[in-house]
Amino acid sequence: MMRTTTQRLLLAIIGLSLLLPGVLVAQQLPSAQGYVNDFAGVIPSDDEAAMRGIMSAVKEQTGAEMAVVTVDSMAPYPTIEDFGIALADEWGVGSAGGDDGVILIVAIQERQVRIEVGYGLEGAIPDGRAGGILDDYVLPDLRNNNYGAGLLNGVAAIAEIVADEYGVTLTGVQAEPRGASARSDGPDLGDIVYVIFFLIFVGGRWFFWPLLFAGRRRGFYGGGFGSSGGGSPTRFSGFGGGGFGGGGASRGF
Amino acid sequence: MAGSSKGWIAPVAIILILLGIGIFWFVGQQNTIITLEESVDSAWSEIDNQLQRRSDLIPNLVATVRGFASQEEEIFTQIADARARLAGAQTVGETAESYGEVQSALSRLLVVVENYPQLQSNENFIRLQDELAGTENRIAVARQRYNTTVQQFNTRIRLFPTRIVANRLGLEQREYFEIEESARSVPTVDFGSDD
Repeated sequence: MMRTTTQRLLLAIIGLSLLLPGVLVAQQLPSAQGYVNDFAGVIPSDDEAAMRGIMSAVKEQTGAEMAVVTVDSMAPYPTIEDFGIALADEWGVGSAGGDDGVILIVAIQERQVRIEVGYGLEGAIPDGRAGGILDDYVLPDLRNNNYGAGLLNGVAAIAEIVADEYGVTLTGVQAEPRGASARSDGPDLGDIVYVIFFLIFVGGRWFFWPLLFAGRRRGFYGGGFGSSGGGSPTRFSGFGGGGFGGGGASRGF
Repeated sequence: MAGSSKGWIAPVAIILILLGIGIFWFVGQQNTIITLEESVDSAWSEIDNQLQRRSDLIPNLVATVRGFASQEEEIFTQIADARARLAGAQTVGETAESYGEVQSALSRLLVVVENYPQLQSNENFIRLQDELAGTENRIAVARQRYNTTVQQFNTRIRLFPTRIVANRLGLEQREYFEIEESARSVPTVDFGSDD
Protein backbone atom coordinates (compact mmCIF):
# COMPACT_ATOMS: atom_id res chain seq x y z
CA MET A 1 0.00 0.00 0.00
CA MET A 2 3.00 2.24 0.47
CA ARG A 3 3.36 3.14 -3.17
CA THR A 4 5.68 5.93 -4.09
CA THR A 5 4.72 8.69 -6.46
CA THR A 6 6.94 7.14 -9.11
CA GLN A 7 5.15 3.83 -8.76
CA ARG A 8 1.81 5.55 -9.09
CA LEU A 9 3.01 7.33 -12.16
CA LEU A 10 4.21 4.05 -13.61
CA LEU A 11 0.85 2.46 -12.84
CA ALA A 12 -0.93 5.34 -14.47
CA ILE A 13 1.23 5.01 -17.57
CA ILE A 14 0.60 1.27 -17.73
CA GLY A 15 -3.11 1.85 -17.22
CA LEU A 16 -3.06 4.50 -19.90
CA SER A 17 -1.28 2.28 -22.38
CA LEU A 18 -3.89 -0.45 -21.86
CA LEU A 19 -6.59 1.98 -22.90
CA LEU A 20 -4.55 3.45 -25.69
CA PRO A 21 -4.82 0.96 -28.57
CA GLY A 22 -7.65 2.99 -30.07
CA VAL A 23 -5.46 6.06 -30.11
CA LEU A 24 -2.43 4.24 -31.44
CA VAL A 25 -4.18 2.66 -34.40
CA ALA A 26 -5.76 6.00 -35.14
CA GLN A 27 -2.35 7.12 -36.31
CA GLN A 28 -2.42 4.51 -39.04
CA LEU A 29 -5.49 6.07 -40.60
CA PRO A 30 -4.93 7.63 -44.00
CA SER A 31 -5.40 11.36 -44.25
CA ALA A 32 -8.30 12.76 -46.23
CA GLN A 33 -7.60 13.51 -49.89
CA GLY A 34 -10.88 15.21 -50.69
CA TYR A 35 -14.47 14.12 -51.10
CA VAL A 36 -13.44 10.93 -52.88
CA ASN A 37 -10.71 8.89 -51.21
CA ASP A 38 -10.20 5.90 -53.42
CA PHE A 39 -7.33 4.32 -51.52
CA ALA A 40 -8.17 0.92 -52.97
CA GLY A 41 -8.14 2.28 -56.51
CA VAL A 42 -11.47 0.73 -57.52
CA ILE A 43 -13.40 3.78 -58.75
CA PRO A 44 -13.16 4.70 -62.44
CA SER A 45 -12.12 8.32 -62.86
CA ASP A 46 -15.36 9.40 -64.56
CA ASP A 47 -17.43 8.00 -61.68
CA GLU A 48 -15.09 9.72 -59.26
CA ALA A 49 -15.56 13.03 -61.06
CA ALA A 50 -19.32 12.62 -61.01
CA MET A 51 -19.27 11.86 -57.26
CA ARG A 52 -17.11 14.88 -56.63
CA GLY A 53 -19.54 17.01 -58.59
CA ILE A 54 -22.47 15.84 -56.50
CA MET A 55 -20.64 16.25 -53.21
CA SER A 56 -19.37 19.73 -54.07
CA ALA A 57 -22.93 20.69 -54.95
CA VAL A 58 -24.17 19.32 -51.61
CA LYS A 59 -21.49 21.21 -49.72
CA GLU A 60 -22.18 24.38 -51.69
CA GLN A 61 -25.94 24.34 -51.30
CA THR A 62 -26.46 22.79 -47.86
CA GLY A 63 -23.15 23.07 -46.01
CA ALA A 64 -23.23 19.33 -45.35
CA GLU A 65 -20.06 17.40 -46.16
CA MET A 66 -19.92 13.96 -47.69
CA ALA A 67 -16.99 11.65 -48.28
CA VAL A 68 -16.42 8.36 -50.07
CA VAL A 69 -13.67 6.09 -48.83
CA THR A 70 -12.44 2.81 -50.27
CA VAL A 71 -9.67 0.79 -48.63
CA ASP A 72 -8.13 -2.54 -49.53
CA SER A 73 -8.53 -3.67 -45.96
CA MET A 74 -9.89 -2.14 -42.79
CA ALA A 75 -7.24 -3.93 -40.70
CA PRO A 76 -6.29 -3.56 -37.89
CA TYR A 77 -9.87 -2.62 -37.07
CA PRO A 78 -11.97 -5.69 -36.26
CA THR A 79 -15.23 -4.37 -37.71
CA ILE A 80 -16.31 -1.83 -40.30
CA GLU A 81 -18.09 0.00 -37.47
CA ASP A 82 -14.83 0.41 -35.55
CA PHE A 83 -13.05 1.55 -38.69
CA GLY A 84 -15.88 3.91 -39.60
CA ILE A 85 -16.04 5.76 -36.30
CA ALA A 86 -12.24 6.01 -36.07
CA LEU A 87 -12.11 7.52 -39.55
CA ALA A 88 -15.05 9.81 -38.84
CA ASP A 89 -13.47 11.06 -35.61
CA GLU A 90 -10.13 11.58 -37.31
CA TRP A 91 -11.44 13.39 -40.37
CA GLY A 92 -14.33 15.31 -38.84
CA VAL A 93 -16.50 15.26 -41.95
CA GLY A 94 -19.27 17.85 -41.64
CA SER A 95 -19.36 21.30 -40.11
CA ALA A 96 -18.23 21.71 -36.52
CA GLY A 97 -21.53 23.10 -35.24
CA GLY A 98 -23.91 21.20 -37.51
CA ASP A 99 -22.22 17.79 -37.37
CA ASP A 100 -23.68 17.31 -40.84
CA GLY A 101 -21.32 14.75 -42.32
CA VAL A 102 -21.90 11.44 -44.08
CA ILE A 103 -19.22 8.94 -45.06
CA LEU A 104 -19.66 6.02 -47.42
CA ILE A 105 -16.97 3.46 -46.64
CA VAL A 106 -16.01 0.28 -48.46
CA ALA A 107 -13.46 -2.31 -47.36
CA ILE A 108 -12.69 -4.39 -50.44
CA GLN A 109 -11.04 -7.48 -48.92
CA GLU A 110 -13.57 -7.81 -46.13
CA ARG A 111 -16.41 -7.01 -48.56
CA GLN A 112 -18.03 -4.66 -46.09
CA VAL A 113 -19.74 -1.37 -46.78
CA ARG A 114 -20.96 1.21 -44.29
CA ILE A 115 -22.74 4.53 -44.23
CA GLU A 116 -21.52 6.58 -41.26
CA VAL A 117 -23.92 9.36 -40.33
CA GLY A 118 -23.01 12.46 -38.32
CA TYR A 119 -25.11 13.56 -35.34
CA GLY A 120 -26.76 16.38 -37.28
CA LEU A 121 -28.08 14.10 -40.03
CA GLU A 122 -29.31 11.23 -37.88
CA GLY A 123 -32.81 12.63 -38.20
CA ALA A 124 -32.69 12.81 -42.00
CA ILE A 125 -30.88 9.48 -42.36
CA PRO A 126 -31.95 7.19 -39.52
CA ASP A 127 -30.19 3.84 -39.38
CA GLY A 128 -33.06 2.06 -41.10
CA ARG A 129 -32.91 4.45 -44.01
CA ALA A 130 -29.13 4.13 -44.24
CA GLY A 131 -29.58 0.36 -44.46
CA GLY A 132 -32.25 0.86 -47.13
CA ILE A 133 -29.88 3.00 -49.22
CA LEU A 134 -27.26 0.28 -49.06
CA ASP A 135 -29.76 -2.44 -49.97
CA ASP A 136 -31.47 -0.60 -52.81
CA TYR A 137 -28.78 1.62 -54.32
CA VAL A 138 -25.32 0.39 -53.43
CA LEU A 139 -25.24 -3.38 -52.88
CA PRO A 140 -26.51 -4.59 -56.29
CA ASP A 141 -23.53 -2.99 -58.07
CA LEU A 142 -21.04 -3.78 -55.33
CA ARG A 143 -21.93 -7.46 -55.55
CA ASN A 144 -20.84 -7.33 -59.19
CA ASN A 145 -17.67 -5.47 -58.22
CA ASN A 146 -18.96 -2.34 -59.95
CA TYR A 147 -17.65 -0.13 -57.19
CA GLY A 148 -17.80 3.10 -59.15
CA ALA A 149 -21.42 2.65 -60.21
CA GLY A 150 -22.62 1.46 -56.79
CA LEU A 151 -20.90 4.21 -54.84
CA LEU A 152 -21.99 6.89 -57.30
CA ASN A 153 -25.58 5.71 -57.01
CA GLY A 154 -25.26 5.67 -53.20
CA VAL A 155 -23.76 9.15 -53.16
CA ALA A 156 -26.62 10.39 -55.34
CA ALA A 157 -29.21 8.76 -53.05
CA ILE A 158 -27.67 10.27 -49.91
CA ALA A 159 -27.26 13.65 -51.63
CA GLU A 160 -30.96 13.71 -52.51
CA ILE A 161 -31.94 13.01 -48.90
CA VAL A 162 -29.55 15.62 -47.53
CA ALA A 163 -30.73 18.21 -50.07
CA ASP A 164 -34.32 17.39 -49.19
CA GLU A 165 -33.54 17.89 -45.51
CA TYR A 166 -32.23 21.37 -46.25
CA GLY A 167 -35.06 22.13 -48.65
CA VAL A 168 -32.91 22.49 -51.76
CA THR A 169 -32.92 20.66 -55.09
CA LEU A 170 -29.70 19.43 -56.61
CA THR A 171 -29.62 19.84 -60.36
CA GLY A 172 -28.98 16.67 -62.29
CA VAL A 173 -28.77 14.36 -59.32
CA GLN A 174 -31.05 11.37 -59.48
CA ALA A 175 -30.41 8.12 -57.72
CA GLU A 176 -31.90 4.94 -59.07
CA PRO A 177 -33.00 2.05 -56.89
CA ARG A 178 -31.37 -1.11 -58.19
CA GLY A 179 -32.87 -3.76 -55.98
CA ALA A 180 -34.07 -6.91 -57.73
CA SER A 181 -37.62 -5.57 -57.73
CA ALA A 182 -36.58 -2.19 -59.05
CA ARG A 183 -34.53 -3.48 -61.95
CA SER A 184 -36.16 -2.65 -65.27
CA ASP A 185 -35.42 -4.00 -68.73
CA GLY A 186 -35.50 -0.65 -70.42
CA PRO A 187 -32.59 1.72 -70.96
CA ASP A 188 -30.48 2.10 -67.86
CA LEU A 189 -31.55 5.34 -66.28
CA GLY A 190 -28.37 5.41 -64.24
CA ASP A 191 -26.30 5.65 -67.41
CA ILE A 192 -28.42 8.52 -68.69
CA VAL A 193 -28.15 10.33 -65.39
CA TYR A 194 -24.46 9.73 -65.41
CA VAL A 195 -24.03 11.00 -68.98
CA ILE A 196 -26.00 14.14 -68.17
CA PHE A 197 -23.96 14.56 -65.05
CA PHE A 198 -20.73 14.10 -66.87
CA LEU A 199 -21.75 16.65 -69.46
CA ILE A 200 -22.82 19.19 -66.91
CA PHE A 201 -20.15 18.84 -64.32
CA VAL A 202 -17.13 17.57 -66.14
CA GLY A 203 -16.85 17.24 -69.88
CA GLY A 204 -18.99 20.12 -70.98
CA ARG A 205 -18.32 22.31 -68.02
CA TRP A 206 -17.45 25.33 -70.09
CA PHE A 207 -20.08 24.62 -72.68
CA PHE A 208 -23.14 23.75 -70.60
CA TRP A 209 -22.42 25.70 -67.55
CA PRO A 210 -23.09 29.18 -68.92
CA LEU A 211 -26.30 27.92 -70.53
CA LEU A 212 -27.71 26.30 -67.42
CA PHE A 213 -26.57 28.68 -64.78
CA ALA A 214 -26.24 31.84 -66.76
CA GLY A 215 -27.26 34.03 -63.89
CA ARG A 216 -25.57 32.23 -61.03
CA ARG A 217 -22.33 30.65 -62.10
CA ARG A 218 -20.28 32.53 -59.66
CA GLY A 219 -19.50 30.67 -56.52
CA PHE A 220 -20.73 27.22 -57.43
CA TYR A 221 -17.24 25.92 -57.87
CA GLY A 222 -15.66 28.76 -55.99
CA GLY A 223 -13.77 27.68 -52.94
CA GLY A 224 -14.38 24.06 -53.77
CA PHE A 225 -11.73 21.59 -54.75
CA GLY A 226 -11.18 18.74 -57.11
CA SER A 227 -13.71 19.94 -59.63
CA SER A 228 -11.35 19.15 -62.46
CA GLY A 229 -12.44 15.89 -64.05
CA GLY A 230 -10.25 12.84 -63.63
CA GLY A 231 -7.23 14.64 -62.28
CA SER A 232 -6.06 14.58 -58.71
CA PRO A 233 -7.58 17.18 -56.41
CA THR A 234 -5.50 20.31 -56.47
CA ARG A 235 -5.74 21.10 -52.80
CA PHE A 236 -7.80 19.92 -49.88
CA SER A 237 -8.16 22.06 -46.86
CA GLY A 238 -9.74 19.36 -44.70
CA PHE A 239 -13.25 18.78 -43.44
CA GLY A 240 -15.12 21.03 -41.06
CA GLY A 241 -14.80 19.02 -37.86
CA GLY A 242 -18.26 17.44 -37.60
CA GLY A 243 -19.03 14.98 -34.81
CA PHE A 244 -20.17 11.37 -35.12
CA GLY A 245 -21.77 9.07 -32.60
CA GLY A 246 -21.83 5.76 -34.44
CA GLY A 247 -25.09 6.19 -36.36
CA GLY A 248 -25.55 4.57 -39.75
CA ALA A 249 -25.74 1.07 -41.16
CA SER A 250 -23.40 -1.61 -42.47
CA ARG A 251 -23.71 -4.49 -44.91
CA GLY A 252 -21.58 -7.29 -46.24
CA PHE A 253 -21.71 -7.77 -50.00
CA MET B 1 14.40 49.07 14.94
CA ALA B 2 14.21 49.90 11.24
CA GLY B 3 16.85 47.27 10.41
CA SER B 4 15.09 44.42 12.24
CA SER B 5 11.67 45.22 10.70
CA LYS B 6 13.19 44.90 7.21
CA GLY B 7 14.49 41.52 8.30
CA TRP B 8 11.06 39.86 8.45
CA ILE B 9 9.39 41.61 5.51
CA ALA B 10 11.27 39.55 2.95
CA PRO B 11 10.31 36.07 4.30
CA VAL B 12 6.68 37.17 4.78
CA ALA B 13 6.57 38.48 1.23
CA ILE B 14 7.98 35.19 -0.07
CA ILE B 15 5.45 33.22 1.98
CA LEU B 16 2.61 35.38 0.69
CA ILE B 17 3.76 34.96 -2.89
CA LEU B 18 4.07 31.18 -2.47
CA LEU B 19 0.65 31.08 -0.83
CA GLY B 20 -0.74 33.09 -3.73
CA ILE B 21 0.78 30.72 -6.23
CA GLY B 22 -0.55 27.80 -4.20
CA ILE B 23 -4.09 29.16 -4.15
CA PHE B 24 -3.89 29.98 -7.83
CA TRP B 25 -2.75 26.43 -8.62
CA PHE B 26 -5.38 24.92 -6.33
CA VAL B 27 -8.24 26.84 -7.90
CA GLY B 28 -6.96 26.00 -11.37
CA GLN B 29 -6.75 22.29 -10.58
CA GLN B 30 -10.13 22.39 -8.89
CA ASN B 31 -11.71 23.85 -12.02
CA THR B 32 -10.00 21.29 -14.25
CA ILE B 33 -11.14 18.41 -12.09
CA ILE B 34 -14.71 19.70 -11.92
CA THR B 35 -14.75 20.13 -15.69
CA LEU B 36 -13.49 16.57 -16.09
CA GLU B 37 -16.18 15.32 -13.75
CA GLU B 38 -18.78 17.12 -15.82
CA SER B 39 -17.52 15.44 -18.96
CA VAL B 40 -17.72 12.05 -17.23
CA ASP B 41 -21.35 12.81 -16.42
CA SER B 42 -22.18 13.98 -19.91
CA ALA B 43 -20.43 10.95 -21.44
CA TRP B 44 -22.54 8.79 -19.16
CA SER B 45 -25.75 10.51 -20.16
CA GLU B 46 -24.97 9.68 -23.79
CA ILE B 47 -24.78 5.99 -22.86
CA ASP B 48 -28.00 6.42 -20.93
CA ASN B 49 -29.73 8.04 -23.93
CA GLN B 50 -28.70 5.24 -26.23
CA LEU B 51 -29.73 2.55 -23.74
CA GLN B 52 -33.11 4.27 -23.50
CA ARG B 53 -33.32 4.42 -27.27
CA ARG B 54 -32.65 0.72 -27.46
CA SER B 55 -35.26 -0.01 -24.81
CA ASP B 56 -37.76 2.00 -26.87
CA LEU B 57 -36.96 -0.02 -29.97
CA ILE B 58 -37.47 -3.38 -28.29
CA PRO B 59 -41.32 -3.36 -28.09
CA ASN B 60 -41.52 -2.61 -31.83
CA LEU B 61 -39.03 -5.30 -32.63
CA VAL B 62 -40.78 -7.86 -30.44
CA ALA B 63 -44.19 -6.96 -31.90
CA THR B 64 -42.86 -7.43 -35.44
CA VAL B 65 -41.23 -10.76 -34.64
CA ARG B 66 -44.32 -11.92 -32.76
CA GLY B 67 -46.39 -11.40 -35.90
CA PHE B 68 -44.36 -14.14 -37.61
CA ALA B 69 -43.14 -16.25 -34.71
CA SER B 70 -45.78 -16.10 -32.01
CA GLN B 71 -44.70 -19.45 -30.52
CA GLU B 72 -41.31 -18.11 -29.39
CA GLU B 73 -42.91 -16.80 -26.20
CA GLU B 74 -39.98 -17.81 -23.98
CA ILE B 75 -37.53 -15.50 -25.69
CA PHE B 76 -39.99 -12.58 -25.57
CA THR B 77 -40.31 -13.05 -21.83
CA GLN B 78 -36.53 -13.14 -21.40
CA ILE B 79 -36.18 -9.89 -23.33
CA ALA B 80 -38.93 -8.19 -21.32
CA ASP B 81 -37.37 -9.30 -18.03
CA ALA B 82 -33.89 -8.15 -18.99
CA ARG B 83 -35.29 -4.84 -20.22
CA ALA B 84 -37.08 -4.31 -16.91
CA ARG B 85 -33.91 -5.06 -14.95
CA LEU B 86 -32.01 -2.56 -17.06
CA ALA B 87 -34.63 0.09 -16.34
CA GLY B 88 -34.20 -0.55 -12.61
CA ALA B 89 -30.39 -0.49 -12.63
CA GLN B 90 -28.91 2.09 -10.26
CA THR B 91 -25.15 1.95 -10.54
CA VAL B 92 -22.80 1.83 -13.51
CA GLY B 93 -21.99 -1.79 -12.68
CA GLU B 94 -25.65 -2.82 -12.52
CA THR B 95 -26.35 -1.03 -15.78
CA ALA B 96 -23.43 -2.74 -17.49
CA GLU B 97 -24.61 -6.11 -16.23
CA SER B 98 -28.23 -5.77 -17.31
CA TYR B 99 -27.09 -4.20 -20.57
CA GLY B 100 -25.30 -7.47 -21.28
CA GLU B 101 -28.42 -9.45 -20.36
CA VAL B 102 -30.60 -7.50 -22.78
CA GLN B 103 -27.98 -7.93 -25.43
CA SER B 104 -27.68 -11.69 -25.07
CA ALA B 105 -31.49 -12.02 -25.04
CA LEU B 106 -31.64 -9.96 -28.23
CA SER B 107 -28.96 -12.03 -29.91
CA ARG B 108 -30.90 -15.18 -29.06
CA LEU B 109 -33.91 -13.55 -30.68
CA LEU B 110 -31.94 -12.79 -33.83
CA VAL B 111 -30.77 -16.40 -33.98
CA VAL B 112 -34.34 -17.64 -33.61
CA VAL B 113 -35.39 -15.28 -36.37
CA GLU B 114 -33.18 -17.14 -38.83
CA ASN B 115 -35.84 -19.86 -38.88
CA TYR B 116 -38.36 -17.43 -40.33
CA PRO B 117 -37.33 -16.41 -43.87
CA GLN B 118 -40.53 -14.42 -44.35
CA LEU B 119 -39.70 -12.31 -41.32
CA GLN B 120 -36.16 -11.77 -42.50
CA SER B 121 -37.34 -10.31 -45.77
CA ASN B 122 -39.95 -8.17 -44.02
CA GLU B 123 -39.22 -4.52 -44.77
CA ASN B 124 -40.22 -3.34 -41.30
CA PHE B 125 -38.09 -5.97 -39.61
CA ILE B 126 -35.03 -5.10 -41.72
CA ARG B 127 -35.45 -1.44 -40.80
CA LEU B 128 -35.82 -2.27 -37.10
CA GLN B 129 -32.79 -4.50 -37.25
CA ASP B 130 -30.79 -1.62 -38.76
CA GLU B 131 -32.00 0.70 -36.02
CA LEU B 132 -31.05 -1.86 -33.40
CA ALA B 133 -27.60 -2.43 -34.89
CA GLY B 134 -27.07 1.34 -35.18
CA THR B 135 -28.08 1.84 -31.57
CA GLU B 136 -25.78 -0.95 -30.41
CA ASN B 137 -22.97 0.74 -32.29
CA ARG B 138 -23.80 4.09 -30.72
CA ILE B 139 -23.71 2.45 -27.29
CA ALA B 140 -20.30 0.97 -28.13
CA VAL B 141 -19.00 4.38 -29.21
CA ALA B 142 -20.51 6.16 -26.20
CA ARG B 143 -19.09 3.49 -23.91
CA GLN B 144 -15.59 3.89 -25.31
CA ARG B 145 -15.78 7.67 -24.94
CA TYR B 146 -17.13 7.38 -21.40
CA ASN B 147 -14.35 5.00 -20.37
CA THR B 148 -11.71 7.30 -21.82
CA THR B 149 -13.11 10.22 -19.85
CA VAL B 150 -13.36 8.16 -16.65
CA GLN B 151 -9.76 7.07 -17.13
CA GLN B 152 -8.62 10.71 -17.41
CA PHE B 153 -10.68 11.69 -14.39
CA ASN B 154 -9.54 8.78 -12.23
CA THR B 155 -5.90 9.30 -13.14
CA ARG B 156 -6.05 12.94 -12.21
CA ILE B 157 -7.77 12.50 -8.87
CA ARG B 158 -5.44 9.67 -7.86
CA LEU B 159 -2.14 11.23 -8.81
CA PHE B 160 -0.19 13.42 -6.44
CA PRO B 161 -0.43 16.39 -6.11
CA THR B 162 -3.87 16.80 -7.70
CA ARG B 163 -5.30 14.17 -5.34
CA ILE B 164 -5.05 16.76 -2.55
CA VAL B 165 -7.51 18.92 -4.47
CA ALA B 166 -9.74 15.93 -5.20
CA ASN B 167 -9.73 14.88 -1.54
CA ARG B 168 -10.69 18.37 -0.53
CA LEU B 169 -13.61 18.26 -2.99
CA GLY B 170 -14.57 14.82 -1.67
CA LEU B 171 -14.43 13.24 -5.14
CA GLU B 172 -14.32 9.52 -5.65
CA GLN B 173 -13.15 7.41 -8.55
CA ARG B 174 -15.73 6.69 -11.21
CA GLU B 175 -16.64 3.22 -12.35
CA TYR B 176 -15.80 2.02 -15.85
CA PHE B 177 -18.61 0.75 -18.04
CA GLU B 178 -17.26 -2.71 -18.64
CA ILE B 179 -19.01 -5.41 -20.57
CA GLU B 180 -17.98 -8.84 -21.73
CA GLU B 181 -16.48 -8.65 -25.18
CA SER B 182 -18.64 -11.57 -26.26
CA ALA B 183 -21.72 -9.47 -25.63
CA ARG B 184 -20.60 -6.75 -28.00
CA SER B 185 -21.32 -8.08 -31.44
CA VAL B 186 -25.04 -8.66 -31.77
CA PRO B 187 -25.51 -9.01 -35.52
CA THR B 188 -22.78 -11.58 -36.07
CA VAL B 189 -23.62 -13.80 -33.12
CA ASP B 190 -22.94 -17.48 -33.59
CA PHE B 191 -23.87 -20.10 -31.05
CA GLY B 192 -22.19 -22.89 -32.99
CA SER B 193 -23.69 -26.36 -32.55
CA ASP B 194 -25.52 -25.40 -29.36
CA ASP B 195 -28.82 -27.23 -30.06
